[in-house]
Amino acid sequence: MRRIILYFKYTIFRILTLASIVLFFFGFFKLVIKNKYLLLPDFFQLRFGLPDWFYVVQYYILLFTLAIIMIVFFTLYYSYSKTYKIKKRSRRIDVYIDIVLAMVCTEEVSERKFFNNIKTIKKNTRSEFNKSILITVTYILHYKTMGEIKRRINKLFNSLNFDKEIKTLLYSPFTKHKKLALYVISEFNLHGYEDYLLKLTKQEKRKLLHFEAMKTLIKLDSHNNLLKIIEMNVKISTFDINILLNNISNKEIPYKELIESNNNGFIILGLILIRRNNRVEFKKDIEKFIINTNLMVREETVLTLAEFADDINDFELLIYFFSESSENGKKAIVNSIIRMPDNDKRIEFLSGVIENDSLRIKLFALDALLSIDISKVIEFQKSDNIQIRKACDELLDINI
Amino acid sequence: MFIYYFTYFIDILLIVYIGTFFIVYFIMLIFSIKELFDNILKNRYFDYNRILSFSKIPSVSVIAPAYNEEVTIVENIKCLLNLQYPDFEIIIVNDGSKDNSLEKIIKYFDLIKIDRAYELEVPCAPIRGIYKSFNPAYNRLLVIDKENGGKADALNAGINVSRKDLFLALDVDCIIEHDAITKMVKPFIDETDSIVVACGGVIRVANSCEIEDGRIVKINFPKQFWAKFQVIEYLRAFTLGRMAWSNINGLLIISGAFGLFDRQRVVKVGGYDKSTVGEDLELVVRLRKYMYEVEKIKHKIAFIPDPLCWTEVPSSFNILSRQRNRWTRGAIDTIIKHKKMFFNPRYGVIGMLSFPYWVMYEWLAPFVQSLGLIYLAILVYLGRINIEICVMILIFSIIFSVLYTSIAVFFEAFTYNKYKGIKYFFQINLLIILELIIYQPLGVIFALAGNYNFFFRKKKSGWGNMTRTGFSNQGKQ
Repeated sequence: MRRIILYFKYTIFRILTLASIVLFFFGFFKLVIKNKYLLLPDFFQLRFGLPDWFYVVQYYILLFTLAIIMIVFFTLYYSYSKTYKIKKRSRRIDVYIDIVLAMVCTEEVSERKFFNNIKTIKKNTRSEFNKSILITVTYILHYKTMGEIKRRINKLFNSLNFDKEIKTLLYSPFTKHKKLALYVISEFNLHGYEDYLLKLTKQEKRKLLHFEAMKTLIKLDSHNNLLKIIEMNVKISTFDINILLNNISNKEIPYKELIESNNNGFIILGLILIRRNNRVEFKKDIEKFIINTNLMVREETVLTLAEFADDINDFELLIYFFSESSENGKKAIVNSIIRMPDNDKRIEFLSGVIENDSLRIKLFALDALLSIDISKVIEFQKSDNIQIRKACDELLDINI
Repeated sequence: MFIYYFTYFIDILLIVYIGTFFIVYFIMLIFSIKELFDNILKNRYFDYNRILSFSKIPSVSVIAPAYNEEVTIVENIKCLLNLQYPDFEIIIVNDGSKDNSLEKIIKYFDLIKIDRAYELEVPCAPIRGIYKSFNPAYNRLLVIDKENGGKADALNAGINVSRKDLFLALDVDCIIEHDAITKMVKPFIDETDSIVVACGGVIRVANSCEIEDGRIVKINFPKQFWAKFQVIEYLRAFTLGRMAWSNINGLLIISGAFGLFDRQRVVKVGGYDKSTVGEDLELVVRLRKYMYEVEKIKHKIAFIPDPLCWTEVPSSFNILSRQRNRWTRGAIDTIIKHKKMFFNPRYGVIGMLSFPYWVMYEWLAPFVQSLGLIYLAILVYLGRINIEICVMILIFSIIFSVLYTSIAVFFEAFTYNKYKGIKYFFQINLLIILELIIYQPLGVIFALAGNYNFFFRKKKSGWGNMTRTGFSNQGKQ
């Protein structure tokens, strides 16, 4: 029933919009053409020879006037109801924070007293609004606390038995409800909603739901759910990659599946995770991506290979692809070259970069050279190239 | 006989123009509503603070040119230093100010001249020095002192010195919401199907608002007569106009006061054009042209409906007229420079819709409106007018304009609800009608004067003189 009401609330606005459009475009055929004199008929009966479109204009004047009256009314209504709702909500949140904190921060109470308290809260939290506030409050407090208090909030949440409410929120057509449900599921580690969450990851319009669902799935079970998401070939953006990176558990990451995916987003994620978790064993597997057509895949490959480079072949590969790399890739290569075992080769490479590349890369290369051979930097300070001199000046300016 | 055919011809011309005008605005209304709802679905419940913890995000330079801004400059920089973003720098460009702007900044922020290297990737007047603070609290701040060259030139200098991926072009006197960069960056990392080359945001009127430590603490409806009208104008332009163009990826302008750009691409197109006063519009048009002609990839100019930037608008008649005159000259200059795009299918939506719209309904509208009035007077004189039709069309136009503006005001209440109170409600509804009688005819006069200045006085460039009252005193007067 609850869900039916929510769907009704959700669709009523669309139905009204559709009705207005129908009225707008087709209404005048019935209203204007059939009874020509919609406005001030007596006035127009005195006239003659007025074109038909004149009556269409009349119709729209009437319609627009009614629309203005409605809009003015709704402006006032929304302005006040919004202010009122915000105030009411924040007052109610304060009340529930006090109640919950009083329950979890006092000394350990007997089970009986605890369940009596739960009963009292439940008795006073019957309306949908109050229930959603209580869920929000427990979620926020659980998120912001730790240790014993967190454990007690968890116990309180489980005792309140919000399963039905969370289901209603999750299946509600409103984004704000779904969002709250997703937050709660992920915070309290609630299982059993995975299939629906996987459906939500395919949302393209409501992107918030798409990435919140992904985040929740990853938090619930990084390995298995990530495998399912890869299998579904969900489109992921840089934004999603960041969300996944921040929430993924570093244990049991399916690296191989990530880099073998045919979705560039997952390959990028895999490359970053391999680099972050220092999984050098994948070095050979990722070398092929250095010639990938996607710029970001190429860049992440260069960054990862630069991080892992330890023998002369690795460095030579990086030097070979230096000119085709992005600016970030070039910076990473320059930084890694410091570790190159062959001193002459690395100085030769850095000198070449300083002479030929853009000012930003020159600065990086000079900085790298400074840590290897300061005399070379001093030589460059006297260079004929004004850009090199400027870069040296900046490098040696103690105020920067 | 000649008069008959002449009036017949003019009648047809005006009917076609006015008819298409209403249809275009009606379609824009539908698109803007759609875009607004799409945006609500996408971002309304998103917590932007999350972006602060992201590791793969573009870095941003905030570039704010300043010219004779000594009254407000320190407060404005303090406001910019309040911005929240993991990787950003603030570049203030002193464009050869004749007052004590630079001295004030050096003294207040403990600045010292540094040897920062830069390349002249886009043309700009000589840079006299670059300053950095030795106070760690201001380590994000860089100040460029350069010879005077105009706003576009100052922005170009900032672009040359910047080393970040994106740059936020900003009027130094604007008050920016602390999460403005995170909101503006989101479209750059959120797109999967196309590349975002720039992003614009909504600008609101800061006159009479209460400001403390570079932040707006209370939003008030302006007390100044001319500023009140500009609130309505800004609401309509940003909530409806730009949202509609954004929906069909046809946005041609990002306000010069507040816009985020891909630095590399702006460098590739040659930076800001120093020879025009409409450098903001011109740059976006050039960027679009470049994307269609050179890169030929699916691209987008995003638009954020959130009110992120608050600016002091002209409160005196003279300053307002000068500002509008400058805007008109900028628009004409851009239209003429890029006339090749007019109804050119090679440029997609831009060539076939946005650019023709600018020509027909932004540039030519004041002429048609004036011509219509003169023509009406002639017809009345000749006794060749049908009063009923004339009155009915006038009523229709007024009702349509009121409806259009009312929807913009409604959306403000529905989405952000920044202005509150019964006094505001009555004021704004009264002003919607007054605007039609007082402000819009004035806009036509300013636009005609702009055309005259552009074509006959050849006045095309220069900083717009705007007398600042300073935010620190506002709202408490």
